Amino acid sequence: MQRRSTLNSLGLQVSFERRAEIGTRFSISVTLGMLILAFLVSGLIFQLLGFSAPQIYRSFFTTLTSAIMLEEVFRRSTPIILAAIGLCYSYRMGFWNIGAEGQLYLGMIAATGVVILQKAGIGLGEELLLPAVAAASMLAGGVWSLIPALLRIKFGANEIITTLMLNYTAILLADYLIHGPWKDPAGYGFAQTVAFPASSKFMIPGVSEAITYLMIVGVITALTYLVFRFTVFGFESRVLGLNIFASRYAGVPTASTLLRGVFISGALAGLAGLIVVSGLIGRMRPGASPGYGYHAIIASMLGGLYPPAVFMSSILFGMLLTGGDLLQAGIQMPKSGVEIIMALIFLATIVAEFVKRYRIRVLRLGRGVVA
Amino acid sequence: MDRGAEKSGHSPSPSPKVEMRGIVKRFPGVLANDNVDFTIYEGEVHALLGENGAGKTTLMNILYGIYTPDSGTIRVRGVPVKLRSPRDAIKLGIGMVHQDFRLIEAHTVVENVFLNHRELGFVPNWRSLESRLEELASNYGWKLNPRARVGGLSPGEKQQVELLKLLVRGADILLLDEPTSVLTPIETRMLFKTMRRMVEDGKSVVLITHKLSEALSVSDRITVMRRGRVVLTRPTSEVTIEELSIAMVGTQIEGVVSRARGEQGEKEPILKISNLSVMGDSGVLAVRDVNLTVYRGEILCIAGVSGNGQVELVEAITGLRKPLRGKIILNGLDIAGASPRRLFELGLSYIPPEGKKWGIVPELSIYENVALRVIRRQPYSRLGMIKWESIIKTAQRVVTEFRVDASSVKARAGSLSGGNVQRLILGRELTTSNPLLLVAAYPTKGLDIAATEQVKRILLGLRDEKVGILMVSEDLDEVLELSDRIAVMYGGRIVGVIKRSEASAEVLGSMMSRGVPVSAAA
Repeated sequence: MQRRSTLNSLGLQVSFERRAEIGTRFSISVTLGMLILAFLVSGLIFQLLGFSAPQIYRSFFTTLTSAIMLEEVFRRSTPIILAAIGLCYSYRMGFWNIGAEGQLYLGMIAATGVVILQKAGIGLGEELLLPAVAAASMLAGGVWSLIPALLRIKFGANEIITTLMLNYTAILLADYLIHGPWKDPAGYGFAQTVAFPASSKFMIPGVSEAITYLMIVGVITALTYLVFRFTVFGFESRVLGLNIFASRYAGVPTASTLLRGVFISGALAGLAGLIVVSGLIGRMRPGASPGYGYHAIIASMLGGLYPPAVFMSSILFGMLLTGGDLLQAGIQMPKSGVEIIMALIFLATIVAEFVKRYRIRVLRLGRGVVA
Repeated sequence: MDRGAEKSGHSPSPSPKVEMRGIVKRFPGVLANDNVDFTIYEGEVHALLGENGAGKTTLMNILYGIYTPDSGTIRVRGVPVKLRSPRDAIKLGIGMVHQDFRLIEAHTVVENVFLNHRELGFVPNWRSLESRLEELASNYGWKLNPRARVGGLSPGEKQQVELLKLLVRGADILLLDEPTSVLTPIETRMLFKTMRRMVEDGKSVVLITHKLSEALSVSDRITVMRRGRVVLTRPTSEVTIEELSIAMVGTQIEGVVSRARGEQGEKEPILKISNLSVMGDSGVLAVRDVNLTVYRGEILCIAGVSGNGQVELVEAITGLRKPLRGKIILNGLDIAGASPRRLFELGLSYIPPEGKKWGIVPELSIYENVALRVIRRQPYSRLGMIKWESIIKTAQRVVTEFRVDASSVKARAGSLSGGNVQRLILGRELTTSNPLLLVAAYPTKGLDIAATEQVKRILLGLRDEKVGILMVSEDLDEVLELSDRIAVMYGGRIVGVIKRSEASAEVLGSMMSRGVPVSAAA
């Protein structure tokens, strides 16, 4: 397979040849190399904007040096890991779900709803509050994600567009509830809902909040790894994502496999929403998520949809968010600074995929290979 | 088709517009064009006829500058040229319409036609461009609204837009790649009228097709290609349909040694198809009222020029396409509409066409591909949990017994050669089930000689084990070599089923090219 573009004016010709085999080690080195490149380029941009790049790099590494900072990194990584692991299910089936953010918001909304009912005396009781909010948030996120899946199955609607649009719908719905019917009457007029009681939080006695979360997401990551490695469902969803023709031939039940996988994606994003409102910020507020659902997209891609690697790359995003907060306080670097880095990481991921697949050669017309 | 009725009487003028000499083009593993000579004269419709994969499109892509030939020369109006890109070709007045349209659906007709045209300028004068377009269109009797969105046009109209794109750029050598494949019969007739009109204006048209009747009804000259070579070039008026069909599909029919089993005792039907009709992708009936029986221990070959409903028939039998009506009885059970997985469990194995596309997942390992069809069955999985050890064991058996040449069963299936992919598919289908019926679609296509022979041996071995085999092939030599009986498909119908011993060039040729059943031909 060969593609060509001609740079006639330079007398150069660039050709891309598909690689037959992509080795694991090669693949990892390309990704890491591109990641480093993304950091270097963002450093250059910051330097040009008048910030000190070494100082910025340093503060990202500071986040790993103290226990308190590390806990913050883990706390902020948690929703990203959950949503990103969830996205592995969608992406491995070839369902380009970019709706984790909206599914996360639905999780927040459902959990808040349960808490409000509980406070109004309609509920299952204090000791069942945690299972109730967990079930509600996962169900809400899951059902929300089924909408684009059904639209694709029934009408062939492009899920990239429908999931994206449903993000805005979810965020606006959350804003309406926060400013309107669900506004905390005792909140001094602030746009926020009631606080989540302690009984709605994940807590393992004797360990800190961050470690509790880390254990939960660790288990979910391991389970996901096992699902893809050892279950018929995991195998069939991979087949479905890789080759729609072969999966029809092999008799993979396309619609039900797709619905199940997408539901799991949404449910995990919904659970991420619960952790945000019950743990990270304690209640629902406008802009409760700084875009965890979008960070998760990049993290899952960067991790190559391989659960342990997705876990690691999500932690990197937790680091960036925490480091970004430090920089904002320390050197008044705007919040968007971190977003520049994230965007460059995303670009680096895409370029890395390309470099893995194609061998790039530059030919001088009429002569041999230049590089 | 009203042959000759639309043709102008004049013979092509002797000045060649295009002369291609000794064109060679090699792709990895295939010699797509093997020393091809091809000439286009002024004022002629030249049909380039051949089976899929004969090298027609490659040859025309070379003339259009998409591929550069490995060797050979091209002269346009007597001048030697080097075509590096379609832009070079268009400058010389050569234009090509591809099988799949390359239009922007959201744009209007006029926007599509003048896209990147030098007359567009910075601020386009749409009104004048529109009127130019209308004038050109009316010249060919087309009713195209220049302001209509292309997305809303019929396939026939889209094709007119493609043609207009070439005409406004002054193309007078038009290469049309399978232009009728998306058209209705009426649109086809319209297109042929247009083509005759174009050559009256002194243009030249190359019609790439695999349909004999089209070539005969509209062309002035016909060139037949087979396996990368030109086997025949002659004026249309001097060639018979039999000559063409034999040139297209095969050579000396009598030279092929049959490996058929000979007469059998009692016959036990394994597959009975009655009144089966199947819809094609374009919404036209692709299979029409087919009746067919396959017996145990025989190879029934479906022969015919490709595109006559073979693929749709096979897809309906194997559960990949829902039949419109009719019955498919496998071993006494009506299986019409059953899923591929259920059919596999009932003893129907299937070798799909284009193994790499349909039969395997190239990104997965060999053992994962072996698991593809049986993953839900014990001992390969239990309660949804996969037992990889037993799959790997089976995969190792497949690899050894069917001689799949791989470093290990953990190698990626995509790294295998075509022959190895085919042996892997066959091995999987035969090792993981005991088929009663094997449906094989183009099982040796694209394979080298050794791999082809291995596949043939496997099929013959199965036949000896009393498996019924339904095979589709466009290689007549292969059909004659393997089959016990031959069914010919034409226009979605089975036009006749003959015994191998009754097969002759005349009988097969007339059935394949005109759909004349054997009784009428004899």
